[in-house]
Amino acid sequence: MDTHYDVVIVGAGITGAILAWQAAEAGRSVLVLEAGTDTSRTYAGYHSQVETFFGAAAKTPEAPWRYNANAPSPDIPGVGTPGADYFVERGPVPFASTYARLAGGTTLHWLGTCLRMIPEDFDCATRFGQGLDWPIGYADLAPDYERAEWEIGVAGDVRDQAHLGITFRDGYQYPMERIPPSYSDGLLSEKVDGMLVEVGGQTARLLVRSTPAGRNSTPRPGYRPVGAVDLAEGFGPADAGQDLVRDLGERCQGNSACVPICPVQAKYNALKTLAKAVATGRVTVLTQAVAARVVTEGRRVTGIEYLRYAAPDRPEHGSFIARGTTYVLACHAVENAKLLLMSGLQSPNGLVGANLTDHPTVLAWGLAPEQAGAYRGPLSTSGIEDLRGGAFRSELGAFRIEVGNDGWLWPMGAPDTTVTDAVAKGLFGRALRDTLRDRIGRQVRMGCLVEQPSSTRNRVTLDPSQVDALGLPRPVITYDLEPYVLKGMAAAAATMRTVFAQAGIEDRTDPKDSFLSIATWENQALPWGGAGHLSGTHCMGTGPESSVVDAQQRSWQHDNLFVAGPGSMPSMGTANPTLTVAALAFRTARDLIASPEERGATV
Amino acid sequence: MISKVPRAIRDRVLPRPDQGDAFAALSAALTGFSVLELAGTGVGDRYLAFLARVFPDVLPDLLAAWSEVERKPPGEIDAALRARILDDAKLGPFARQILELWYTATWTPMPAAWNSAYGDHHDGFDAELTAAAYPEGLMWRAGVGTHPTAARPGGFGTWAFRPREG
Repeated sequence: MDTHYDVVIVGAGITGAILAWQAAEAGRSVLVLEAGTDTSRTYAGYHSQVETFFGAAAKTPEAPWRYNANAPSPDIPGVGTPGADYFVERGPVPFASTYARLAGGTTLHWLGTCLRMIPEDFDCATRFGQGLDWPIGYADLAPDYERAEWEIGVAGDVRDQAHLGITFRDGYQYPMERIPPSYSDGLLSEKVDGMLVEVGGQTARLLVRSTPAGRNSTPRPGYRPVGAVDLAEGFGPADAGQDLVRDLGERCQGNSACVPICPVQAKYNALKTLAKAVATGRVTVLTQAVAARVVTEGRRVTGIEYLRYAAPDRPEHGSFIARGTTYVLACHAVENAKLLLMSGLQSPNGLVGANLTDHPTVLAWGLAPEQAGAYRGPLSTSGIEDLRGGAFRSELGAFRIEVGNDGWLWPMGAPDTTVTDAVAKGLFGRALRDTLRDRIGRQVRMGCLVEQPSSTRNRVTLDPSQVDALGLPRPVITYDLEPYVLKGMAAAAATMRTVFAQAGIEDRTDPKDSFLSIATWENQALPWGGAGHLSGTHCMGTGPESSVVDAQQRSWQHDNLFVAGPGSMPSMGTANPTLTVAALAFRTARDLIASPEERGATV
Repeated sequence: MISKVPRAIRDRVLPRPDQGDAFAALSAALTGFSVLELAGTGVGDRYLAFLARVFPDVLPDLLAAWSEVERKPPGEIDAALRARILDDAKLGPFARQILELWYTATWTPMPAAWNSAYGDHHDGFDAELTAAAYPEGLMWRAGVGTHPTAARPGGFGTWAFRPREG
């Protein structure tokens, strides 16, 4: 293990994969250390996880991705799986979001939503007095949004997305046509488009818009969709005599399983970019290698100590050091902060781990007046985005309304619980079948992703007495929902009620029946869940006194260290963060490749 | 190609001669799906094998009770099923669990109160049976246009069409 690499990257998710690929294309040698397994990198291995999902008693977002005690990852609190105990929750509110630790990262179970942030999100402190400003603006990031959209393979239409200040370069278009909106999106659109709602003293006109998504659709000229990884070596023609599988995943089939697992990989995952990186011949991926310490001398990182284990279910491991010229931590918000903290690298301003943020998502569910086609197609194909911005953000959190195609799955665990309820009422036989026939397809739900400004009170810390199977600390989470967020959640719930009434949807939202967490604002119970949008644990800023990394995601403390990913985001606004994370990775890659030390690096 | 279907799979599809017919008929009465529709799931015999193995002291009683119900005129079957089986303290919860099994493809362990009265049978599906059963849950067939999450997709763009009455 004496090899010296130009770049050592911790984490084989979307940030690590893009940086590895970009650095390798520029001639650099790259080592990627991944804490979890490489199961997903072969087609057969990926598909075995579909079987694991089928066999799981609790079909949570984490269900396909086998729990790994040596690289544990969180699960939804209360589901009884081992991951549900990974976070040491200090409250007062349980943190309700998860991420994955294995090659491909959390893009293995993301929904695929690829909204850009709106320009006002980048200076929410200046404009609204909330959270933290970014050191860069929308215009700075726009070219990298384009690169990210073409690398992820986003299906969308700029005509649907140019709103609230979002602009596109003349002639720019997404690589694929928009995903067809669902039948229920159409029903909603007929009733809701043009209706007026009032939020925070402002009136907004609502419009149901298609959601841009990293999901394969009809390609525009010049673009070839990227299907499942490793088809040639796994189930390719030589193996099965089936030419058809070569194209597997080049279109969404409508498996309705974006979360927890797209069976055909029609939805983007970072394995696709990682495969391109490896194909350069300059990238080595080492899995089952858990980074345990960032080794430093003064302002320079000199190595990454990592623990390599032979089997996920056994703690035996060896300890090694990876050495390179430049280092990148790219293992998601919580793990990046954890790694810095357990290396004794808290920054002097105390901001490593601070500003942990999510999108608390308030749910509403009801019965459509006619058969609406629930449980079909991508889990969401449209949203109502008109309340993502506005002057009201000085008083309460902005929100976007995600329109679901997944019935009451998220709030109620339906349709299973629909069956249980009907049987408990004494129904059986033809009457039961007819009742379910009437109900299941009419189940609709919406979810409002509410803005949560950065707060130093919400943070990741460590407690040396709380360790995992390898003896590494588990993340201690302190998390709360501030009045600004709760006000936004209450306004979101009220807006969804108004939309339901306008669309003739019978409101069946009942927090008592739900698996969701319950927040309260002014005596109103708000059923909510985490969005899986963890961010903000090593925020970027304009100087070392007020931030952890600069606008290139370079550490203020160490000259040859980048700390990259959603943890660098001072705010998310209301945009699902992955597209912005990918855009930042392209931005960081340019800086990494262009830096003086890297220009002198040997190849 | 039929001859290449592994024996283990063929055996799953074909009903067992001893209890299979009664179990299929009872299941049809409980679920509102026909015996043929239930056979089409391919997992009924595995459900029966599970029940026969884990509940050897309960299943014969249930099937015996069904044989009484089954002899009623067609118009009286539902009422007899309710009176003789679903309202019975021992057989009722067991039959409802079987009904839910057909719809959700998940075996929920018997409730604690039932266990304390009739014994804890340490009942649960293993991952292999859960995986085999999962896409066969009748709830996906009962809904209009629905399909099991991650299985039997409709094809690109089909979600945009009016759901068809199946």
